[in-house]
This record gives sequence, C-alpha cells and structure tokens, in this order.
Amino acid sequence: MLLNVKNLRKVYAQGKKEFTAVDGVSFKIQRGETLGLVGESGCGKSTLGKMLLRLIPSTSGQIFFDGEDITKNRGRALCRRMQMIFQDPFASLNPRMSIGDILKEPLQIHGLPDRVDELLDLVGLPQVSKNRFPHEFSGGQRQRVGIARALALNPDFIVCDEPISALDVSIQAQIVNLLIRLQKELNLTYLFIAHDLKMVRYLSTQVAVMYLGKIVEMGPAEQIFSNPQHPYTQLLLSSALSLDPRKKKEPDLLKKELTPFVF
Amino acid sequence: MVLQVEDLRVGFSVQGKELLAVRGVSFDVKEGETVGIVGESGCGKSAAVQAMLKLTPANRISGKVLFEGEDLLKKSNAELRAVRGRKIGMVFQDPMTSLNPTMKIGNQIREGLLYHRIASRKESKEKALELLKVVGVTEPELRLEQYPHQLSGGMRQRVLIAIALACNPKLVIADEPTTALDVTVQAQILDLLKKMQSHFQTSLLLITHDLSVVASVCDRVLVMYAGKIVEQGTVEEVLLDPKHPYTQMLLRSLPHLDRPRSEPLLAIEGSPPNLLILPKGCPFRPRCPFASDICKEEPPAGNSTANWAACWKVV
Repeated sequence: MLLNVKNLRKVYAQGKKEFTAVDGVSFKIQRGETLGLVGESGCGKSTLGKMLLRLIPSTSGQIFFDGEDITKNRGRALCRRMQMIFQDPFASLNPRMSIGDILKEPLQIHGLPDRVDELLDLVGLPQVSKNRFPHEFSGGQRQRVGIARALALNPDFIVCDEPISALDVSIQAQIVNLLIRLQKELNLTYLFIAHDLKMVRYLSTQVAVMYLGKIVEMGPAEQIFSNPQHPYTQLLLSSALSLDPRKKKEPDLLKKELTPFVF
Repeated sequence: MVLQVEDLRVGFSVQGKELLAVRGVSFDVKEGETVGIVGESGCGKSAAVQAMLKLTPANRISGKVLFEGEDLLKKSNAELRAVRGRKIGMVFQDPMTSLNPTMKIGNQIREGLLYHRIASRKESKEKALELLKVVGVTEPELRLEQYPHQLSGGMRQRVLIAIALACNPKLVIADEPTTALDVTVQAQILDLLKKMQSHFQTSLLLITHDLSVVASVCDRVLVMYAGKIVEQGTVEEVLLDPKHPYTQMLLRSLPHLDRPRSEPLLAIEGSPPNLLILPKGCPFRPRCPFASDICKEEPPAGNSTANWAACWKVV
C-alpha cells in the first residue's frame, strides 16, 4: 500500500458560513496502480489532489504515505517522493526560464546531480530543447516538459491533474501513452484526475467517482464502467457520448412535450 | 439549400506575412440539416464561420457565402446586421464571457427582437419569458431580472441558445457550444439543441473538436486540417469507415467506451503544421505513415455534395 487516505476533509470558511469542499474521503492506492478520479467541476477532485501533496492543508483526517502519517508533514522530504503534473502546460512553466533551467531547479534545490539530458530522453524531447524557452514549444511538448520536471526527483507517486484536457485531440494519445510507458519503466503510482471518462477507463486500474465532495462509488475500472451502482455514476456514464453514430441519442420529443411556441 | 460556401479563404497578417487560416473551403448546409465541422485548434474552423458573417479582424476574406441566394461577403455592414441574429443565429463557445455582464438576462434576449422590430416592447417581454421556458431555464420569471453572474454555466448556455433562437433564424451556427461545460450538462445542451432544431425547423452548423459530439448530433461532417477540408460525408460514413489517414488515425487515438479497454491507443506523432511554413502538397504528409512522393502534389478535392477525402491514396 503506497497511499492510504482516511476520512480526509477540507472546510473553507466563507465569512460565518462554512463550505465543505472535500467531505470525509477515504481510499487506498497500491504501488504501481492508477486511481482515476472523476467528477464534474467543483466536486473537490483538484482540492483532494492538492491536499495529498500538502499543497493545501487539510481540515481533518489522515494521509498515510508508505506507512507514514504525512498529515502534519511539511517540507522538502515529501517533494522527493510525491509530485504533480498540472493541467495547463501554458501556465505551469515559467516563461522566463529555459527548459534546461526548469528541469535543473528541483535538482539544485535538493542538491542532486544534474540529470537534465536523461530527463529529456525519458519524455522524448530532443537535447537541443535545453536552451529553448517554453513559448517555443507546442502544448504537447510543454506537457512533456511538465512531466520531465515532475520526474526530476524520482518520485514514487504523481498526481496528474487533468494532464491532457488542455491538449489537442491528436496530441492526447501521445501524452497518455507516455504516462503509461513511464509508469511501467519507473514503477510509478498515479492519481489521475480527469473529467474525460473514456481516458479514465483506458488508463486506470481503480476508479473513484466524486460528487459534492464525497466519493460516491469506487472500484476496479472495468466494474465501474460495466456495472455502475450509484445513480450519479449511472448519470455520468449515460451522459458520455459514444463515437458510434449508430448510438445517437434521439431527442425524446414525445416524452417531454415542449411548450408551444408561436410567432 | 440554406447555405452554400464556395472556395472561402481567410487571411490574417502576421509578422508582415499573410497567414492563410482558411485555404479554400467549400460546403453547403441543407434545410433542417445538422452539419458538423470538426478539427483541432488552429485548423481554421472558427475562422471560417466567423468570416462568413464578417465577425473577424481578418485582412482578407475571399470566395462566396451564399445565404438564401445572396452573397454575404458582398453585403455592407448595415446589410449584414439585418442578417446577423435575425436570419442567422449564433451560439458562442464560452457562456462565461459571451453574455454582457452589465445587462439583465431578459434585456439581452429582448435586444434582438427589438432591434429587428419583430416585437413591441411589451410583446418582447412575453417572448423572452417564453423563450426561457422553452430552453428549460428554471424559474424563468426570476431569471429575466437577473444578471449573468447569478446563473450557472449550463444555464448561461441555455440563455445564449434562447438569444440565438429569439428571431426564429433559418440557420444557427454553434461554435463549440458545449466545450466549457461538464459532461452531464453537455448532454442536456446537445439534447436541447436537437430539440430546438426540430421545433424551429432551423439548420444547424456545429463547430467542435469533439468527434463524439459529432457522432451524437450531426447528419453530415466536414473534417478540417490546416485550413482545408480533408474529408467529408455523412457521420456514419466518416466515423465508421473513415477514408483519410488523418480521420482514421484520429479515431484510433481516442479511447472508445464500447470497445475493450486493452485496445491500445495509436498516437499521431508530431503536431499540426505551422500555417506560415506549410509543407508542399498534402498538409498531413509529415505525420502520415502512408505518405509517398505523390503526396508532394496538392491532393484532389471533391465536390461539395458527395463523400470524399482529400488524399491520393483514396482516389
């Protein structure tokens, strides 16, 4: 067991009112597995991801990482083992730093030997990228830089927060295949946060469905997708559009009579 | 035929050079038909539809856009204002920014009705209320008096659809109408667009990057790549039996919910070309596994009605 989360909560105070963003969430992730976390915007999935990395303090609950309670933990030791890949490859790289400097920064902070060349090879970027700046790269290439940066300290666990949703359709498969290859090669464990149900099904071993701050259903990916139990999961799956035009959803005009409208 | 576009070209001036975002696009939309234009960002799909109504700062627009027999590109701005909103309604991508934040919802819906003198002030109030009911906005009386920030994303998109339909247009152009929305809301909005279309008997031109949106609502689809249509046909033909290597590979790069999970995703290597330095001949050539010498020649384009793919391997 790499990660064991127990009854994790995050409450934001809005004046006198309280808003519970994450409401008592518990789950476990085994080493080498991928937990896919799905839910709609505002359901608390990104807050949860950031709490695991201690980027946001939690209100209550416990997080055990590799057997150790890290709930009170802050500081650099954790960064070496847990990292994050962000959604927007345009906003998450410093535009004034060269790719080489971006990748060197975590290594310097932690006093580790330079392995920028190795990192570039790992994510399939040419060596000449080192001296270039983020604006010279496409979205897919920038996301490769973001992945290389997350891998710099050789972590065990990576939170991927919507890593492909800002990318073009023809680039998404490149990045997903890269994430899968890296997972196998480096024995990584992922929390994959996404709203794209088809991608989550493709690369997750376990899937958790979040709704209004709670995990409403969790289980092996195949089971969640073939036999969803919770009404919300069923609604999510029935809302997902098929790529097969023969499965077109006909507008149910007969069922719901429209208000007569005359000009 | 509601809309006939012939050899539309749209150019922007970038760094002293001319960037052709749309490089000769021809298609038509029949009465009551839903046509999808699908492609990745920068392929020219939005530039093309914005140029049709001259809603773009493009330096050069050429070709013909025949709407009800008249060329929109030859019209003056004053003449175009009688078409925009009245005969052609538009739903924009981002429901957060395309409503006026300082105007009440009711007044935004009434604006077009009053401008085009379709209704009196009193009638327009009633029609705005009816429209909100038709597009399924909850508590419509209350919403009329509210401002956009008081509504959720899905509700705002419904308001935008109500505005687009207010003057009972012949054609509705929807540019990525569901991209900014959650999946469950997306399904509702697409369902609403289809219902509205059969209810109002309008034609729908839908711009999207999402092939599953095309599969679920369109009759016909045009696939765009680097400013050109590379394949077109009925959705069944294009999505079930794609001819162009780009369409084929795009479909294999997406996970399908109704196929086994173990089926690997095929990645299309490289990225779409820079329109300022286009390769000679077929724009997909540098990424195409089937490319040969003949692909350095411009691939053939078909006529606007039949199904075709702009590829030497298909001809």
